Amino acid sequence: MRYIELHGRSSYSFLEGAAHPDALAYGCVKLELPAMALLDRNGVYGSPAFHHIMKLNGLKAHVGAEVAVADHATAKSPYYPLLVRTQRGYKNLSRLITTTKLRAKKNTPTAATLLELRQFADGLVCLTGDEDGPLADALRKGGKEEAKHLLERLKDIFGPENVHVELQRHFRPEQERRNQIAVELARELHLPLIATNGVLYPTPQDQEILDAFTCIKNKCTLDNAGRLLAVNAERHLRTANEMAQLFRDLPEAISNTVELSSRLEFTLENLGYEFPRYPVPDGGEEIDFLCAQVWKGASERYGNITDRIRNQLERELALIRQLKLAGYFLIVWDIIRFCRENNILVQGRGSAANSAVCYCLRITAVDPIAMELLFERFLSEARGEWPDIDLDLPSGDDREKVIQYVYRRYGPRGVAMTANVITYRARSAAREMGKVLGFGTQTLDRLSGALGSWEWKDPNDTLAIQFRRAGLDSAHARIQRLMSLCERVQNMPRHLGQHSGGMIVCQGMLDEVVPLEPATMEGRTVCQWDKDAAESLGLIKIDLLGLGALGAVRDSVELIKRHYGKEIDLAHLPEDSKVYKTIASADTVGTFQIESRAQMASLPLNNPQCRYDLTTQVAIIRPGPIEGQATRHFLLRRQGKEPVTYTHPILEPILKRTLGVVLFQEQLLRIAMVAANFTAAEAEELRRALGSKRSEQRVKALEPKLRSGMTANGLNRQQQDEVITHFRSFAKYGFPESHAASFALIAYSTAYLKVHYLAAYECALLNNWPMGFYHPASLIQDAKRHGLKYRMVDVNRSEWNCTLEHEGTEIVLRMGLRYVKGLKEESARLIIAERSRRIFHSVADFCRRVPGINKAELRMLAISSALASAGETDGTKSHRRDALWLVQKYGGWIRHPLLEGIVENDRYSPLLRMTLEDRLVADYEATGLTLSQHPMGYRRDSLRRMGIKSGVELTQVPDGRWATAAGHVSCRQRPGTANGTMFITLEDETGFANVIVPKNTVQEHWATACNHKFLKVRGVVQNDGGVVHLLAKSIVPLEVSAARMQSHDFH
Amino acid sequence: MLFTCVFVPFFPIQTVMRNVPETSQSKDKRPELPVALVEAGENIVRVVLCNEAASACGIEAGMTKTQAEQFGALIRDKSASAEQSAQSALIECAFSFSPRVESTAPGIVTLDIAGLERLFGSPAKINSALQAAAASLGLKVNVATAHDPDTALIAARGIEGVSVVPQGQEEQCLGPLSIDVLSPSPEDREILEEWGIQTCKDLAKILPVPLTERLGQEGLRLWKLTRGELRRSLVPFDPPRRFQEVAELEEPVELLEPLLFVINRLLENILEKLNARALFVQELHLELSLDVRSEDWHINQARHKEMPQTFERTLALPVPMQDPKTLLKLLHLDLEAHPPHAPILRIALTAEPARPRYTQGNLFLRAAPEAEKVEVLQAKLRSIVGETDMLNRNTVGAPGMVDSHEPDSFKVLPFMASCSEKKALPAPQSEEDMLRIYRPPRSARVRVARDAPVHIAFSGISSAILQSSGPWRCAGSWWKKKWEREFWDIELRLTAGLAQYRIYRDVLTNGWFVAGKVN
Repeated sequence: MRYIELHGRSSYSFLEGAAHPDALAYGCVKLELPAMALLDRNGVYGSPAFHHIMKLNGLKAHVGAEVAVADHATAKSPYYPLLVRTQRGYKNLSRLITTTKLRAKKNTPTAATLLELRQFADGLVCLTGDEDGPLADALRKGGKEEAKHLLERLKDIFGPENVHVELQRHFRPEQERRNQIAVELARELHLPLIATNGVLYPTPQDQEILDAFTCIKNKCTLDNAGRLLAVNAERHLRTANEMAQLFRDLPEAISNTVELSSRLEFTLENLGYEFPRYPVPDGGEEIDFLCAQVWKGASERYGNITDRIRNQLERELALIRQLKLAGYFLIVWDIIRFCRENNILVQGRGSAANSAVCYCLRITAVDPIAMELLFERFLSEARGEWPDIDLDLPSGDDREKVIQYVYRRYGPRGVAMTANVITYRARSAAREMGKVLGFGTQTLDRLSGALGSWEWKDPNDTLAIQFRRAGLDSAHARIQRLMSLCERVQNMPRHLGQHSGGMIVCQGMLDEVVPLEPATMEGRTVCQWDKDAAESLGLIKIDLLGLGALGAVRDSVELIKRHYGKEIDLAHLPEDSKVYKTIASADTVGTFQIESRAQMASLPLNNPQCRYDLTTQVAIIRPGPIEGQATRHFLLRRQGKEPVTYTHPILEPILKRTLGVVLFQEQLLRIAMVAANFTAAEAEELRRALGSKRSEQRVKALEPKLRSGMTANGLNRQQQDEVITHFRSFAKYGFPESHAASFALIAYSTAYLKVHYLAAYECALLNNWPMGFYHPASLIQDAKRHGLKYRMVDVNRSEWNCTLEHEGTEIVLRMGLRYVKGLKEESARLIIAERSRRIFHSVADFCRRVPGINKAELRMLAISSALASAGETDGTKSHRRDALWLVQKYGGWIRHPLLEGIVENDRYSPLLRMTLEDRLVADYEATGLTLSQHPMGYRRDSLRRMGIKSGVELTQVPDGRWATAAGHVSCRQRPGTANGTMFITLEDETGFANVIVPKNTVQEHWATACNHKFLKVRGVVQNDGGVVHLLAKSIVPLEVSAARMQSHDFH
Repeated sequence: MLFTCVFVPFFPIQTVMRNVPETSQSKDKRPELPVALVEAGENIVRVVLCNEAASACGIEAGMTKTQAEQFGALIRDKSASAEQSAQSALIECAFSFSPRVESTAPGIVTLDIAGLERLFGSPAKINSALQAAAASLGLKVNVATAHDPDTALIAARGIEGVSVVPQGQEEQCLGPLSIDVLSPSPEDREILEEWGIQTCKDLAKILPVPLTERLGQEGLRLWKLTRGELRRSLVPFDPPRRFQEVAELEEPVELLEPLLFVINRLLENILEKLNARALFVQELHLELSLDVRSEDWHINQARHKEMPQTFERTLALPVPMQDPKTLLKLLHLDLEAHPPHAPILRIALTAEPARPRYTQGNLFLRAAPEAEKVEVLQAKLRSIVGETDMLNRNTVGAPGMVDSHEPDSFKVLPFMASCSEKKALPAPQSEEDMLRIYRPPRSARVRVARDAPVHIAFSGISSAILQSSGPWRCAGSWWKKKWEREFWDIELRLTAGLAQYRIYRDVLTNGWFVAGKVN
């Protein structure tokens, strides 16, 4: 007897199913079920994953969904199980779900109407469902008569051959009563019977997960969920024999499953997706229009088109013609054109930078011909997928403008953001499962705090140990339940989010390809698949990513134009030795990509002198090159401390530019092609392996083939081992060269702006924060060391953003109101509007004229000294406490016309002026930063007496000597590549001191290292060509200031 | 008027530490030990308070016990009972000096010492004596005397050891103290901190009108406190009355009747006392001292010697009562149901008093039996059927629904005073469908063939099963005590005719039971 399970839900039904599609597929393999249908609720979220895994195992995945249908949507609307029979059916299902979803806001119950069901019924098969299905609903509402009426209506909508009366047997009497009526009605109306098990989980034990999900959904605990929980655990996958036994009285119900399955011809293989055609002006061919644009762009980009350029462009265009990708390039070109016309900075990154066509279309800014980049990395005949173009845009409004342009251009149902499936991770699992089991909030806070707070994980750090660290007894039965649930729900989908920038565009209607849903953000739709699912089904995606640095660059250019009177052409920034000198001396705080501590430590050693050097610089601080020792060898070779050698002469042309070291993904692909005789398609498989989550295993699987190829090319065992090591280490993530080159361009631009237009760049940085590696407090201290002057927030002068002011010939930076903590943007706008009428002449005047500001905001303004100028308009001096005293009285007054013009006499307070320490504390409390000296600076004399070296002094200490450094902990890191070593960056008034805390010292001084703001560290200096680290031996806390200074901890 | 305040710094810590046996450290050194108090949440133990020495080590409130242990401090559990007993001891100690004592707050007592100079000497001497008395209780205290209770309290909070604030010099004496001694609200504390006001002197300097304009009446109150200008009356401590009667018996009593005779007398005395204060009984506590060594009794009972020497019963009443007959009857029934295991030597009867409950009669309320009668009836029933069943459910009360799939799950709730809400009538149920449930279910022997029961034997019935329908499976509570059952509806031919039963198999124990009979 054969049986096909035609009704199953996965965890992609979001809390209404407890099986990952992989687990269901595994169950099908194990129980020898040749096919299965996945019918998630109101969506096909899990179908791509299910299709993929079933296909891999030679099984068939039927597509369908349980769609809520009711004329008035409620949470209890019946769910109609709909199976897709044909491609038309899939399109209808997708449009039915989209129509339903887009009608309501995100996360509100919605249902299709019967009219819509009729409209989109073609190509679908309707089952009568389980206890949440239409038949049970009709029986509940009107008994057998109503049920008969329903079946007649379904027959009418779907046609008699497309309605199956569904029977499930979960050993429940009320279900059996329903079944008896269903069988009677089926006989009466000549409808086929079909047996399903309404699968919600692969094995009976997984019922526990479903119960937990039910509790999360209903916001209750297992103890008080009562009858919300399932009555038994029978909704699991069953073998054909078990099902046949269960339905031995109705054998046709079993055989009908096979018959119906054979009629369901549709799978996700034939999705019917088409990339949108670009509307060519004058109705010409896309490819001709593209060629024209490319050659036009080429003459602008290159001026003189050499043979080499011509050949490359022709080769690329021929391939684009062959693969019919002209429309895609034109669509991206169109977005770029929109950005240019609207003065929005945009830059292509990723593998698109390998294409000269992209360069000519101004999609990318890197010349791939000059850089000798590998075009095949971007596009190749062998690839069964679309090319990938990522566009970096300034974060915020500009990016949103572009996204909205794409929506306008292709219509709300022709484009959607890709989804981001948020899955259970250790913390979220512990929190939610803990709640379900009835643990208190405090315990759960503690538990999520103890779970995975640092990137580096001790290999012995089992869940049980982490639980114990949180103070929970892992031997306790309920804790064991918690641990078990946590482990089992890991990686299960929790809810659907929105991908940060991926957009899918489709010819015609995208809603026929994948159901669309409303996004939380107004004016956006999101499709039901994430980027991996979309990619695996061949949907083309354009990533519109937000990059804070681009926003800063854009703002800098505007500020330079306004305040320096200069136009900056970012595309043609000169190669400036001063900029490279600054970069090489690691003076890069605030620049893009090369500002992190690891980057700064390697900059003097790499000593970049040109754009390509910067490209390598960007690429070396990645987990792949670091773990594979490529970074170390490269830096030694750059310094001439190690000879440039090649594993084999065959590799020399590939690795020459990177001194014999593998730094980029393209190099690996070339090595595979040249040294191991991989075809382009095989190299492509390798590329995918390198980019995948299970890259290490996949690279390992390709190893025999690599070795045999290398043996054929004469590489001996040792040489082969070296090459394999490169592959393995790259599996841990390294950059493609094109991507690094794109980033290097932005890095150079930011460094250039910082060196030549410090005020403008710093202003733009502060306005675009949060971004980068440093807190504004550190950025400001760094800029001050470079001579920039700052002015405090002032209600009579500051805008919401930071601005530049001219003081004589000097440009100073005025802090914006955005830096006053707790001050709402709306309040700031009120201040600015009122100030534009006339300036505030006293604190009372301010309080009265801007009554919308609450007392807490007023106090913050007073503490930050933003009200100082209002109190000093008659030339007298007042201090912050005067303002505090006054806002406490006048704050919250209601505007009253009778009080207009009344001058308050009390301008001063009986309070004492703040001390230096008070002011520091106040600065950090109100703005999170200080424009005065760094707190360490005030204590320098006493610190010196304690034998403590400043950041600058530490760089003078010879290698191997003992020294003591101290400072504010600006950053703590425990990266996954460092085997438990912690990196602490101490900041003082002279700069930074880099501390390395070995694993054993971390363990010894854990509490001090992690909890204190100021630290004194004694250790051995490692001075390697000016790159100085202090290898910590002891760490003690230091009392410097009570100011609430923040540290940037990478958890 | 003259008031003295006794203040115990880090009161919860001191209360715990005073009961710790002597260590190598002397008693006065104890507060210097780093000590952190922890309190257990449901699974996590956190620091709730630590003394200065512990703070200096790096311990902070909110840390977990494990974290705090790393700093080498003494970790102790916070104890409400220790605090209560220390407070009582402190009050007792204060009463030994003055008849007017106020239990101001935990760890703080204030005494009216006006006129005590003749007895104990000057205020300074009284303070020292109080300090010494507190030290003998294991508490290190600050003692301060002033002309109003608040000033005395502030001085005791802020000044270590003993101090006397002379009248008229309050401002000078309190001036150097931190404003924390005034216990301002967190919001006011924040504002004052921003203003740079650290001490009482700083606050006292500000003019009251502008201060009131900014901080309102609370600002003015704080200002007056700094100047010793607030006057309030002491709220004398009224020790809780104990309503207890004890009777020592000359001969051990073995029988219930003479025992009840004595209990009745004690009860009447207690009720008389309660009546005088217009109080009723909320709870009756009976403690009987037993003569477990009685030779005769041992011979009779043939029990071994390790027997508890006291026997205790508590009657918690649903409503406060005062009727001696009812109360005696309840005690009678309770003792009948739970007889003491040895002759009685001593009887102690204690009543927890409560104010009588006055309820307005409702015109539409159905007449219900008096609460006393209901209680007596329930007690009678309990004495017959026992208090709880094998599932630890009450045996007497009103059945209540349980939201569970577990078949026949219900709870038994105490009878509540009837409410005016109308109860919905249950839906009519056809007689044929009715299942008469056996409680407890009857054990059965079932023979199974081809996954279905074919023969059953239970309660003297042994029959082939004519028809069966099932299994119907249900399970639940997997996260605590799992249950799982398989139900069958069966039909048997008995001599009286056909009969239907519902039977089930407990999957976990594999035992068969008859759940009930279908009518």
